[in-house]
Order: sequence, then structure tokens, then C-alpha cells
Amino acid sequence: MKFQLKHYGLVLIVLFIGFSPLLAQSAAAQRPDIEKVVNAIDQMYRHDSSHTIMEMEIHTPHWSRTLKLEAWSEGMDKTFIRILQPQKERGMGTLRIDNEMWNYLPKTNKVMKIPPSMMMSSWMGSDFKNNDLVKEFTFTEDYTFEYVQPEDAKESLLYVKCTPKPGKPIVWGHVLVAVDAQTLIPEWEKYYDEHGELMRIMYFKEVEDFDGKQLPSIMELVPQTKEGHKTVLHYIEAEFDIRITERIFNLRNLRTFRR
Amino acid sequence: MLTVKLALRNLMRQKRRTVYTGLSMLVGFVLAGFFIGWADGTYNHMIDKFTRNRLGHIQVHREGYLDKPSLYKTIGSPEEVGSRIDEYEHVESWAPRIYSAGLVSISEKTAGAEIIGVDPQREDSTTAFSNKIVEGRYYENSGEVLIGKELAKILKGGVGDEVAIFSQAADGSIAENLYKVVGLLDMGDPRLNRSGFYMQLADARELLVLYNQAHEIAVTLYDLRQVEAVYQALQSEFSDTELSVAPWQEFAEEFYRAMEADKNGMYISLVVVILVVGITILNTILMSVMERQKEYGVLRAIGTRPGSIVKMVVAETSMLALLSIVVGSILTFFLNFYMAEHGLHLGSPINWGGVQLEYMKGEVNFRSFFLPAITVVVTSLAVCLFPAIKAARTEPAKTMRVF
Amino acid sequence: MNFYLKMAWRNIFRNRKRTFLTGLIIGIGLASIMFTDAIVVGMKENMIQSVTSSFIGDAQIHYEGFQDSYDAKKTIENREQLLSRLQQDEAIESITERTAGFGTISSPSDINSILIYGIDPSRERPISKVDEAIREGSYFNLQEDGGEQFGGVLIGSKLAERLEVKVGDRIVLSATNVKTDDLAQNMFRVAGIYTMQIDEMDTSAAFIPISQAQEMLGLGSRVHEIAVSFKDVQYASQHSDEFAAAYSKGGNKAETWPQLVPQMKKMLDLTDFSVGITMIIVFAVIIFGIINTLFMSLYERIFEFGVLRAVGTKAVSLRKLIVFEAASLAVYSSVIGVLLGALIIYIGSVHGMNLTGVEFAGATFTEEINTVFRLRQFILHPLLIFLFTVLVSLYPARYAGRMSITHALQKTL
Repeated sequence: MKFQLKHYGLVLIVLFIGFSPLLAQSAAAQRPDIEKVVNAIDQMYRHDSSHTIMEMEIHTPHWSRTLKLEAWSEGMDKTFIRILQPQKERGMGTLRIDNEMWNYLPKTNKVMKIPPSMMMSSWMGSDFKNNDLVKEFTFTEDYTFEYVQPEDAKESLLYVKCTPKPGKPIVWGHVLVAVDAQTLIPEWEKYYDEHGELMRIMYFKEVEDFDGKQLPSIMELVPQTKEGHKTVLHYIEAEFDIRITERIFNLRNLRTFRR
Repeated sequence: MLTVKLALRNLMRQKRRTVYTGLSMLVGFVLAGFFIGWADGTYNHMIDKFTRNRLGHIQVHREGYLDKPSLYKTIGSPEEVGSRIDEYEHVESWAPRIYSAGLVSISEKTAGAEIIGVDPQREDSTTAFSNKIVEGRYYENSGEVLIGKELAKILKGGVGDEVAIFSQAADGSIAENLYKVVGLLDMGDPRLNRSGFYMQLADARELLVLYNQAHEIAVTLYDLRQVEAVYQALQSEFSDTELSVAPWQEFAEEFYRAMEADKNGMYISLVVVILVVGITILNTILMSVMERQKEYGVLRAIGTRPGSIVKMVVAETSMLALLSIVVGSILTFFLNFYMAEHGLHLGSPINWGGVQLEYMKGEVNFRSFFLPAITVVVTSLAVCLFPAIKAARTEPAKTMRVF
Repeated sequence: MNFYLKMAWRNIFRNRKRTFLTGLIIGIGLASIMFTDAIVVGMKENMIQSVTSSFIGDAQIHYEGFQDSYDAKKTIENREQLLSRLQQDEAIESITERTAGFGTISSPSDINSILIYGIDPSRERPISKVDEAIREGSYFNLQEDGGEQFGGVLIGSKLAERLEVKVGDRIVLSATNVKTDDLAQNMFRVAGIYTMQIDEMDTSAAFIPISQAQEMLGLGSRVHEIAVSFKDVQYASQHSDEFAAAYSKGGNKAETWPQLVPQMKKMLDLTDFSVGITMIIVFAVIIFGIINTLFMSLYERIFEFGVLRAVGTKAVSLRKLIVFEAASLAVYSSVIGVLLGALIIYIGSVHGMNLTGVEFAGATFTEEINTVFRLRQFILHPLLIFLFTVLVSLYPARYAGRMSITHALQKTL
């Protein structure tokens, strides 16, 4: 048989069909190891220690405010937050060591210990629960995960579905994370309840350089079932893995405030 | 007319029998009437005391507040609303309140508390608030607070101590301030004693940024029995606003149910009393009619028609009944009136839900006349009819046998 | 003596109809008193039950000071010893143990501070009505989740609303472990949703099996509360001090419901007082009825008595006869009354009266009041009636003895 044009097309088709699984595989092979991705998500805001200055915008159906905060943290156990703005709350501080929490109120010059039962509620009226700020659970250790391809998938993103391991005291049914395929920086995290209802979305925006690291400078938490609520965390300055003196994480520090 | 004359003369003739029959009706009437007046009076008295103590007879809130309380569901310009309420003649007093929650602390100890902002003068005239102080004194200056006596214990503090409060204001900002404890309260409710933090309204408004607002207006009336009427009136008055009005049966539901349950027990006793009264009257009349069988026999013998005998008997009984009802009503009225005004002093005052019950009060009401009257009429007439008809029908010879 | 008695009996039965009528009215009066008494007792028991059996129980024991702030560290001392003593106590019917501590419950929607109770499902049943208050789901059927078994949690309907959860949904309970001071977080599934119509229970309480509570809180085998129920409903109010003294040892404090819920006790005292007045009124009506009836029947027989006197009966004898007649009548009436009363009380005890149809702490607590049998109803009340009847007869007896015979004989019609 003479090798004609139509055969050429056939060959191409065969080659293409024959090759496409290979093509696909290599595309998949180009997806990073999922464990690495999940780990990167976990590590993003986790450091041995940190010192940050940020703005927190809280929106509720009744009011909206913006707080300017300075925070220090060491490991998972120690956190110290000072409110810098607005003027009314300037000087207020929160200290958390392990399972104990204290608030300092400058106007009354009082250090108040927060009863454990109140510790879990929202911090300063925002949508973040104290648990969120502490982040006891990591995707790596406490979830099982897999790549998924949602319908409206964007090419530049990787989508990971994280499901809590059985028995873990986590309320979510599963969490969907969209990560930039190149930088492995999350774009958003969607939290679903057991029945598959979308409960809240955490957006990560405006990646900037902080102390040598590329991080989203804006974290926006939008509850999906409550109207009119939103909390936005905007990192202004940050330094990580620095040495923080013990003096920071103690009660006396709560009271001292150089205005 | 002849029947009436005869009836009257018959009654006067046999004085003893008339007295017995009449007395049984009278005493039965008075006892039943007194019982009703006393039962109703006691319950209303209890309800009144309980609601006056803290909750009020009627409350006004922002729509939806009672179902799901929220810091943001407020009554705007409560003073205006209050003065509109004041215009109703049955309204005795009203008091605005602000509610919130927060952390309070004296020295080292912190505890969760219910923050209640009250208008010192109004609260006192509406619910006798100052009477609840067990230690210390009432508000005199701004910045002073009263706290539940158990809360003081938990905070290991007392009168004279400085207490800090930490909460969230209505504009989202942190609410914190320092106040002075000038008195401890016994609210009668263990929950409030353990967590009640009572500030002055002006202070609360400043702390919580709720200027010109309130969460609740409690209203007391002169007479508990006016609740229904005033409630309806206020409802229509505020129907075009975002406010909703609730009577005590609504906001004190658990109490209401308990009272109803108790009342029903009382009703059983009432039925028993009425039953016994009815039977007594029944018996008395029956006996007197039976007694007079011979009489009727003679009447028949001389030619009286059976119908006339029945008429006569009925006339006698109804006149007697009427008389006893009239006299009974007068007596019952005085008895219940005395009970309503002075009541029966209980040996030792019963302290209940923070309420001191010293007297058992009675009440004058329609029911206390109506029910006994019906009983007397029905039983006496029903009873006299049967033997009368029987006597009217029987052969005279039979009834006239002497032995 | 015997002669008069015989005569008295025969006399009253001569006019059967009248005697029966009189006997009936006195008997009905007696029966009503018995009935009122029985109903009131039933009402009070019902009231007590509705409070104690909803959750409190007849009596509770805690470590001194536990109830002030529910400090999870304050557990009961000498638990084993205490339990064995309680088990040997004849007056106690059921015993159950509980833990209680503050914590939080979170769902995907919300997070609330609550009081977490650890209860022993089987032992709790006879004491409280948690199981009956359940509207959806069930009373602790253990769930399986990926091969592991998790406890169910029972929450109130209002709490379920706030958390936006249904039966089977996942929630997380957190509380402080007293041993390690760490925050313990555990996943539970909503096993049942209850409505007690008691605000605090419906909005801020949750129940989990006690073994899991103890594990979460690091309590080992220790507990915070022992609740008991007594065989006799009255026991708690009558032997309050005894119980308190017997079991308040070594740092523990034992209290009966009058001490735990003093408002209830006051309410009952009030009821007692009103009952007293009610009984007085009922008695008054009946006594009046007796007076009336007796007087009427006696005065009717003036002629008869006249004849007797005319024939030579001494005044004293006549008086005696009349009194004996009254006594016989009283006995006759009492028998009628007791029988009638017994019948009514029996019917009432078996077939309760559902009065209001009002729900009180759950649909199961319909206001069904049963009459309760008490010995005094069958002894004291008849006795009082008997005495009174005899007493009342003294006046007409005296009259009959003193009256002029001719006057009496003139009464024909």
C-alpha cells in the first residue's frame, strides 16, 4: 500500500490515542507529591516563632470595625496579642499559654483570667474561633487527602480534598483546598459539613514577601450560612523563627505598654 | 297571684321547716361563694406578687426579642414608648431594662455575669427593687452597681469593692470599665443571685454604646385582672411599630403552666364543694316535701288540682331560693370583701421565689355569686319538682295515712 | 346498753327511706372528704414528681462546694464506700452517678458553652426522665464511624437549632481534663434530641455516657454527683435532715430535693395551707348538712317522742335513745361513705384524671392526677364524722327530753 495522506492522519491519530494516556500520566506525574503539597499548606503559617503586625477587619450585620494588632507566638502554646488601634482599645492585650488565657484591659488596668469555657468562643467578635488561631490540627497528621478535579477547575491550580481521619474531633465533613500549582500557596480553602453543605470559605490573597518567605498577606474568612459576616486579616509586617524573649509571654508584659 | 300568697303563708306557717330549708340554701351559697372568692383571690394574689417581683405584668420588646434575645434587638427611644404606655389609666408603673453578658472580676477572681441595666427610680417603683438588697445600699451616684449575693461570693468580694467588667458593645468595640459595688442582692432566683450584675441604665448605655435604647420595658398595672384589657390596648397602640407586647402568661410561661396545673386541682375541690352543697339542699328539700305528703293528700282530697299543688310547691321553693340567694349574696360579698382587703394573716410568711406571702387574700368576683346561685336554683327546683309531682298524682287516701 | 342499741337500730330502720336518704347524704359527705384528701395527696405527689423526676431525683450528693461553680476537680469522696452504704439503705430505690462540667460543643455552624453531663444510661432511666424527653433519635445508641465506636450525645432541641444539627450529625465536645490540664476534644454524634421545656436544659446542656465523660475529663472512676430516688415519695420531705446527716461525711454534702429546690418546697407548703382551708370548707358544708338533716328528721318525730314520753319513758332514756340512734345512723352512714369513698378513690387511683392537657416538661408529663390511698382517709375522717354526728344529736336529744308532752302530741300535720 502506498503511504498516503489519509494514512498519515491515521498514524497521527493512533499515535495520539496511543500516547495520550502516557501524556496524561506524565501530566499527572508533573503534579507534585500530594504529601508535599499538604505539608506546604500546613507549614505556611506555622513557624517555631513569629512576630507580626496585622490589621483585622470584622464585618457583622450590625457593625464593621478594623483593629490593628501586634502579635507574638511561639510554637503552638504561646501567643501574645496587643491591640494598637483603634484608640479606644489601644493597649488591650491577650496572653495565651497552653490552656490558660488572660486579657488585659488598659482603661481599668485589670488583668482578667478567661474561664476555660469562654476560651473557645470567637476572638473579639470576629469569625475566627480561638481554635482557628491556635490551629491544633494539621492536614498532614489529621486528615486523609487526595487530588480532585472540580468542574470549574482552573489550570493554574491544584485541588486537594482533605477528609478528617475517623475519630478525629473535627466538625468538618471535608475541606477543599485550591493551591497554586507553581508556588504551592493556597488560594482558598472551602469547608464543608458532613452533608456536603459549604459552611465557610477562607480566601488567601495578595502574596507578598515576608521575611524572605512568600505568603498571602490577606486572609479572608467568609461564613456561608450567616449573612453579613466576614473577617479579613491583613498582614502588614512579619518576621519568623526569631528569638522571642520569655519576658513577652508573661502577665507582667500584659500590663506594660509603651504607648 | 293566689299561688304566691299561698306559698308565702305556707312558708310562714311552718317556720322551722322554712328555716331549715332556707338555711341550707343560704349556708351552702355562702360557703361555695366564699370558697370561690378565696380560691380565685389566692391565685391572683400569688400571680400578682410573683410577676410584680421582677418580671412585670406586661412586657414590651423589639419584635422577636423574646424568642431569640440579641444585643441588637432594641427598643428605640424607650422613654417615649414608656410615656405612651403611662397614659393608660390602669398602668401603675413601667421600667426600662438593658440586657447583656460579660465577664466581671474583683481582684483575682473572674466570673461570667448577666449584665442588667436598670433605671434606679423606675425599677424601684415598678418592682420594689431596693427591697431586694440584703447588704449595703441602693444606688446613689453613677458608677455604682448591685450584684447578686452569690456572685459576690464567687468573686470573693463584697460591698465596697471595685469590680471590672469586660464585654462587647453594640458597635463591636470592647466594653470595659470599673465600677463600685455598693450593695448585694437576693433576687430569690438562684441563677440571678449567682450571675446578676445590676448597673444603672445610664452607665450601661455608655458601656454598651446603646444610647437611647433598651431591650425591655416592664409594665405593672394597678390590678392584675386588667392585664387582658391593657395588653390588647397596647398591642393595637404599637401595632404599627417594630415593638411587640407580651402578657405575663407569655414571658413567664413555666410559672403560668404551674399555676394552671395547681388551679385545676383547686377546681376539683370546687366541684366537690358544689356537689356537697347541692346534695345538702337536695336532701333538705326532699325531706321537707316528703314530710308534707299528708298535707298534699288533704289538699287533693278537698279538690285541689294536681297542677296547682305543683305550682305551689315550686313557688315556695323558688321564693325561698331567691331569698337565700339575695341574703347569701350580701353575706358573701362582705365576707369576700373583707378577705380581699385584709386577708388571712399567715402564721409565718412563706418566702417563695423571692416573694414574701404574708396574707392569703380573697377576691370579690362575679363567679363567686353566679356559681353558687346556679347551684341553689338548679338543685332546689329540680328536687322539689319530683316529689311534688308524685304527691300531686298519688291517691289522697294513700298519702294521708297517719302511721 | 344493749337494749338501747337494739331499739336504736330498729328505730332507724323503721323508716327505711328516710334513713337511707340521711345515711346517703352523710355518706356522700364523708366520701367527698376522703376523695378530696386523696386527690390532694395525688396532686402534691404529682407536683413533686414532675420536678424531681425530670432530672434532679429525690436527693443528691456532691462534694461540698461543687455546685457553686461546677469545679470539675471537686469529685465525691469515698465513692465506693458511699455507694455501698446507699445500696444497703432500705429507703432508697434507685441510685445513679453523674459527672458534670462546663465545656463547649461545636458544629460546623456554631460553637456554644454548655454544661456537659455524663450519665449512666441504664441507671439513669429509673431516676430521671431524660429518655422520655427525647423527641428525635434515641437514647444512646452507639454509632459507628469508620469502624470505631463513638458515643452518642443527647442535646436539647434549642441547642440543636443553634448548632444547626440533626440526629446523626457530628459535633465536637471540648472540656478541660482535670488530670493533665489539657483541653480534651472528642467527636460525638447526635444520638437524640430532647425537649424538657426547661430553658436551661434545652439550650445549654448535653448528655454523654459517663464512662466517656470520665475519660475526657481524666476523672478515672470518680464522679461529681450521686442522685437517688426513694421508694416513698414523701420520704424526702419527711426525713430530709436524717438523710443529710447520714451521708454528708468526709467533705460530701447530701441534700434532698426540698433543699435543692427550695422554691418547690415553699410551693408545696403553700398548697398545704390552701388544702387546709379547702378541707375546712368541705367539712363545714358537710357538717351543716348533718346538722340540718339530723335536726329535721328528729323534729319530725316529735309526735312519736311525745307518745313515748306519754307512755312513761323517762327523759333520760329518751335522750339516750336519740343519741344512740344518731350513733347508729352515723355508723350506717360511715359504712356507706367508706364504701363509696373507697370506690371513688380506687377508680381515681387506677384511672388518673387528665385535667389540663397542658404540657409540662414534655408530653409525658400530662397533668394526670391520681388519687392516693392513705390510711387516715379511712379511719380519721369516718371517726370525725361519727363523733360529730353524735355530738350534733345531743341538742335535739336534750330538747326531746325536756319538751312538754302535750305540746309534742299536738303535732299531727
